[in-house]
This record gives sequence, C-alpha cells and structure tokens, in this order.
Amino acid sequence: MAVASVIVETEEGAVETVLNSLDIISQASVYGVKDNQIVVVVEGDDLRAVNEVIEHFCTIDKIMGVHSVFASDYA
Amino acid sequence: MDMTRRQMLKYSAALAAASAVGLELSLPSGTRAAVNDAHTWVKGVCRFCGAGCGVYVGVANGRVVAVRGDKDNWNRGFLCIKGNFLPPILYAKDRAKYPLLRKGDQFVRVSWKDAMDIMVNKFADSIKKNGVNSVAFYGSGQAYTEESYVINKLFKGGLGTNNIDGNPRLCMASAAVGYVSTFGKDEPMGSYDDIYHADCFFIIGSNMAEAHPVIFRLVNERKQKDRNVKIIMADPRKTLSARIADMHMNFLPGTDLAILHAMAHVIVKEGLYNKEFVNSHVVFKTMKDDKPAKVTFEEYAKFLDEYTPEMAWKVSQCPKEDIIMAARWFAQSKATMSLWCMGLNQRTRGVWVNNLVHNLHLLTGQICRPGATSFSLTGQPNACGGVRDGGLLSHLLPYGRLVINDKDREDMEKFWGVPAGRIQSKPGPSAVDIFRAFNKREIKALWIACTNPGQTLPNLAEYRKGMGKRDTFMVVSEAYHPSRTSELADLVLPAALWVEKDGTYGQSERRYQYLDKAVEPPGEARPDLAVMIEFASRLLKTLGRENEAKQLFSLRNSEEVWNEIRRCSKGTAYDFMGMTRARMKREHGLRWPCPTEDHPGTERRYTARYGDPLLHKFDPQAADISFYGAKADGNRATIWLRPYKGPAEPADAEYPFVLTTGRQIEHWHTGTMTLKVPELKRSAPDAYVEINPRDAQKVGIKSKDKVKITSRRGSIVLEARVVDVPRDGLVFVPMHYPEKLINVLTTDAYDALSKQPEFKICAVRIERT
Repeated sequence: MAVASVIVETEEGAVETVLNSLDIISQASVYGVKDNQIVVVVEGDDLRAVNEVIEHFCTIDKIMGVHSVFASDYA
Repeated sequence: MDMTRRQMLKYSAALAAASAVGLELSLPSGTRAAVNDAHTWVKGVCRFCGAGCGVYVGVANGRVVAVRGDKDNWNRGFLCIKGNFLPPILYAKDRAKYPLLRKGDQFVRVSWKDAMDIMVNKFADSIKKNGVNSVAFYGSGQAYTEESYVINKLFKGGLGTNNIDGNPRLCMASAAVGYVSTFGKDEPMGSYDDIYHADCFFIIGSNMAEAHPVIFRLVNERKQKDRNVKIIMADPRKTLSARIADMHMNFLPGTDLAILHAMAHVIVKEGLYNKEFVNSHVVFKTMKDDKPAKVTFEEYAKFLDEYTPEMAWKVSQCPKEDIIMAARWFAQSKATMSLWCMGLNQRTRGVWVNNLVHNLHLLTGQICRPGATSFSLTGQPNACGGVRDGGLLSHLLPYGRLVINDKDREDMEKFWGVPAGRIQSKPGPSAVDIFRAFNKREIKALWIACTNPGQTLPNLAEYRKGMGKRDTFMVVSEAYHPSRTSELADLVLPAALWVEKDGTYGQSERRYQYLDKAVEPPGEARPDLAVMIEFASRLLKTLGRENEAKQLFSLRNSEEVWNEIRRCSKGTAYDFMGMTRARMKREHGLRWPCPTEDHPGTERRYTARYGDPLLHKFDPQAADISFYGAKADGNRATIWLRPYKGPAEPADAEYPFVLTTGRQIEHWHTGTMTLKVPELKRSAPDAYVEINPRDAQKVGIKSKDKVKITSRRGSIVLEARVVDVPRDGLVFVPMHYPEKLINVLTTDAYDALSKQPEFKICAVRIERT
C-alpha cells in the first residue's frame, strides 16, 4: 500500500472542470482547494502504481502542473 | 476515535501538501494522532541537487524522523520526491562506521589512530621521496565549504602543490569558465527571483523537470500566471520538461553552437539587438594566434554572415523557422531568462556554447534587470560555494583568485601566512588528468573525499584500473562502503553525512546556507572537516613544520573555519563578510555579495539600480551596469566569436547512434544515497536504454528486450525502454546505477579550456542480445 500527496495546479478558472475529472479516479482523494491548486492524495498497491496515477493526471485537460509533496509506501 | 495507520498516512500526506499551498486542514474531530512527532526541528538544506531547497529536519530520540520544506526559503516549502525521502539516507545498512584498511582482497577494521598514522606517513613518505607533486586530493561539490577550504589551504598553501581538484570539474567547469571569459567573474548575476519576472524562458541542455524539479515548478507557475510567457526548450530529447514548452527545438546532439550563432544572426540582421547596450557594455573578441583579440561589432556581424538559419538547419536539423522564431522571442520579450545545465557543460565545446548563450543576452540587453539574465543551473549542492567560489579547482585560489596571477598568489600567501613563493603558479592537473597521473604512478598518494570517481569518471574502465593498483596509496572518505570507489581503496575513512555535521552549502543562485548538526554520525564516523584538520596538522609536523602546523591548522570547529573564510572573501567580488554564523543560523540563506552585517544579500549583480553593493567600489564611475570583474576590458563583458565545431566523437558508420547520459527524478548522482531509499529504488530500480520507436523498429527492439550498447571503450547490456523521447539516432541511459557503469562507454575527451569531459555525446552501436 502506498500513498502520495500532490498539488494539482489547474488553468485559471478550470478548478471545477478538473475536480470533475479527478472525481472519477478512484485512487485519488481531494482534500481541499486553494485558488487554482488542488490538494490530492493518491493511493495504490505500491509507489509504481501511485506514480502511474500521478502521471495520468498530467494528461488531464486543464491541468498545468502536478507537484509531488509527500510519498510513502509504509501504509 | 483513533485513525487507522492508512488514514493517518493519507491525512499526513494531505497536511503536507496543504501546508505547502497555505491551505488549512484540521484533523477530524475525535482523532488522536498515531504518529510520533519530531521533538526538534533543525534548519538545513537538502543534500541533493544544486537547487539548494531549504528544509527542516525533524529529530526524535536522536534520529532524523522527518523532513519538511522550509516555507520561508526560496522553495516556499516545496521539495521534490527525493527531498521528501532524505531521512532514510542516514540509516542505510551499508553506512561506513569504522576505518578500514585493505589487507589483500579484504578490508579489516582499524582504529582511527592507526588509520591516521598510516595515512600521514604514506603522504609524508611520498612527499619526501618524490616531491610535493606526488600527492593529490580529489574533492567534491557535496562537501561543506569549510571542508573544501581547509583541504585547499593544506595542499596549495601548506604543501605548495596545485594537485587538488574536484568533481565539479565534471559538471560545472565549463559554466564557470564561460562566466569568467564573458564577464570576468564566475557565477550567475541573477537569481531565482528572476523567474517571477521573465516573459521568455530559453531552456537549453536541461531536463529541469527531473534534474531541478522545484526550480521547474517556479517556471511552470510563472507560465500559469501569465499565458503570454513563452517557453523555448532546446534539447535533442523531448523530455518531461518539454511538456510546458511553447516551442521544442530539437536538434542533432552537439550542434547547438550553430543554432545559437544563427539566433544571433537573426537578431543582428533584423536589427533586434540593443545598440545602446552593446555600445556601452560590450567588447567583441576572437582568438588570433591562440590569444584573445578584440574586433569590432561590424566584424562580428560579418562573422555571423555564414550562420544563417538555413546553415544551422543543415548542420543541426533544427527547423529554420524555429530558430528564427526563437531569436525573435528572445530579443523582443520584455525580459528573457536562459537556464541551462549539463547539456551545454559536459561537452568538448562547453565553454564556447556557454559563451554563445551569454552572447545572446549581451547582444539584446536581456541582462541585469528583473527576469533578464543568463542563469546556469548547478548539479551539486555545493559545487558553487565550496569549489568554484572557494577555489578548490587546480587553477584557482579562493574567491576569484587564480594561481597564475602573481598578485593573487601573493594575497593568499600573506593571508595564510605562508612564505612568499609557496603557492605554485602553474595550474595543477584537472580531474581526468589526476587519475591519468595516478594510473602512471606520477601521483602516488591520493585522497578522495565525498565523491565517487570509481563510477563517475568518463572512459571509466581505464581509471578503475589505476585506482585498483596496489603500488600506490588511495584513501577514500565515504559515508557508505562499499561504493564503486571505496571498494578500490587502500584505506576507507568513515564519514559523517549531511546533518550529522554542521557546515555551509552555496547553491546555484549564490545563496549560502548553514546546515546545523541534527544527529550524531553512526559508529566511529567523523566529519571530514575534523579529519582534514588533524591530517593537515600532523602531516606538516611530520614534514618538520610544526610551527606552520600550529599557525595554519589550529582551527577547532566549522565556525572558526567559516570566520576565516569570510575574511578571505573580504574585498573581493564575492565579499560576504556580513554572513556571520549567527546570521546564517537565523536567516534562510543569504546571497553574496553581502559585505556587512546589515546587508540583506544581493539579488542581482553588476547593476547599481538593482542593488549590487560592490558596483561602485569596483567601478566608481558606473551609472548603472558595470561588469566590474572585467577590468582589463574597461568593465565590459565579452561577446565571443567562437567558430562552429561539433562533438569530439559524433556518430559514424561503425557506431551510428549517439549515447547521452543524464538523470532521472528519483535518483541523484551515483545513487549512493537515493538507491538506499526503498521507495525510490522501487520506483526506479535499474538502468535502461531509452530509444525511440523508429530506431527501435530498425534495430528490431521492443521495450524490455535486452540490448547491448557498445562504444569504442566498452559495452553494457541494458533493458530497452522504447518511448518517443530521444530524437532519431540518439539513445539515453541514466547515470545513477552502480551495477550498470555507463561511464565505461563515455569518452574522456575534454574541453581544452575547462577540462570538462564530454559525457553528453559519444558514438555507440546498439544490438539486441
């Protein structure tokens, strides 16, 4: 089990759109929003799996940046 | 209600991210935290790259248990994936804990007393029998400034040999010589603050997203805040960094000199240069009969005639439309910032290509104001502070002084209190040449500290042979054993690592930062500084110079060394007398120059308007901008007329691919630290060869196939990763893996000016095994 937190930065005015896109990703939990920055925690079987989810974020429309803050696979 | 471990970790993760963006999250009601908080938080700096992110290290029960970014430092609390995993590097199972002496093929534990006795006697005997140039030191851009200063003082001032160099020769030497040859002094004139003001970024030879992720974050953020900001990414690989680029300039490796000249061609021919700036602040030079010779702007314009975008396209395969557009964006943006790293530096024309980037800034006046600057990114956490600035390289003396300069040698001899004529005027051997000399037994005793040349030297097999010989004497100070270097040593000294000792780091933007000691080192590991002071003192006594030993090396701790270093900087273009230890403990780094205790540090050099405190000291007549390091040129920077030359070993019929090496985000340098972190190792466990789908199809390779890569120097078998990242004819291998020594293949051809090897380009062939 692994977890990681990232900050997802959206284009201006696109927070709701991105939140909707994140909502359908079962491994991702949104913890809050500040301006156009969304705090997301990603879970997976291991860090490789978590990383794949995070890399998938980079392909979502209106997401400008995904910035890793914390990761652990001790869960 | 107690949280489950999983819930706790998720919430901790969320809290960390939330604090980075200033979002308040409260614990769910009724929750009791299940984690042990750190009892103390100690301010420091990340151990990894030259970005120099500020951190706080959490300590509980004598162990580092956590790390968080320093939100009051330039990185605003952000760390990259590696920085988040700093604590485990201290607790790897293979930490070196005791001195080890080689006996045949084995290492046996010895006492520190015996280790130092052996080491001192070996070095002293060699000096007595073979002269002072029979011993050498190879240091590091990861050592603390205090450590590099003391050992430099011993070798150059105490022993009188310039046989001392460091691993920044392999990464930053071309950038350093580039700055000096253009501006008269080393180091960027701007800072990370310029990122917030730039309207155009020209990023060349750098995969910032993986090599300097936190700085990349600032660039990305700038782009998000203003969609009109232009990002030009120039790289033969379409890396993660290119994801945010408005233009990706893709070109044949080693042909960027033609592109940069062509951009200058467009700027001049279309009248986009800043005539007033050029007339006021620039000289033009070429080389005639191996000497610099001044030429006119008209001669420069004529020189550029042949470097049309068409010519550059034929040479580089970079579309001429891209070259023209890039030139116009560069010149016409309100403020243009260039950022580069090893793609330019690790080349046989590294200095020249650095000059050509500076040329564009000088030609257009895109310099010395907010957002307009030419900024070289540094690989190691203290290549700038300890080695470039501190003068550890074999041609340097501290703080901008040179061994070849009579007055500089005299200054340092007086400062150190050594006899006139002690410091040799001839530069010593650079990194590769130290190991060549060690191979030939011209150097008979070598001390390597805080670096891993047994993995990092180019044409590696050749130099590992020399390091493995038993009729010379090699000491390795290392935090881990075995490393690919310590395994070849005669004597291994266990070293304290990172926050197991205190000292100073100086990162890319001239920011010097103090790292406090947080925990004790394991076993009998000692800080390198203490070992160096003891060695220096004992060696000089053994050589019959007891008085000198007392005079030079009675320093008791890193603060005393730091105070001497500050005094050494006084009056130079670095002047950081104002960085007292007390201030360094309080502040979140200070940028030099910082000449007085009330000076806040310098965001931008060479400009009075933006607060360079030394400008009018060195150039009292200057109105605003003065490149006061270039006194001989009337305080003007140089635009260099460098002819186009390609790499030393381009691809050919026999070796039709170019191999380039570089970094991955998960790992740092030779992986001695990051490969010890289970999470990072699981994420990136092994080396691979990256090849694009078109080339893979031609060679008959698919992902996960075993591929043999062969150069003129050696071969290696790696797993293939077929991705559309490298351009046709280019393959990429990460440098981090001790079991996959990619440097067995790389060339040790080096830049004649900087002596930096061309890690980035050599010719290989690929075949499926």
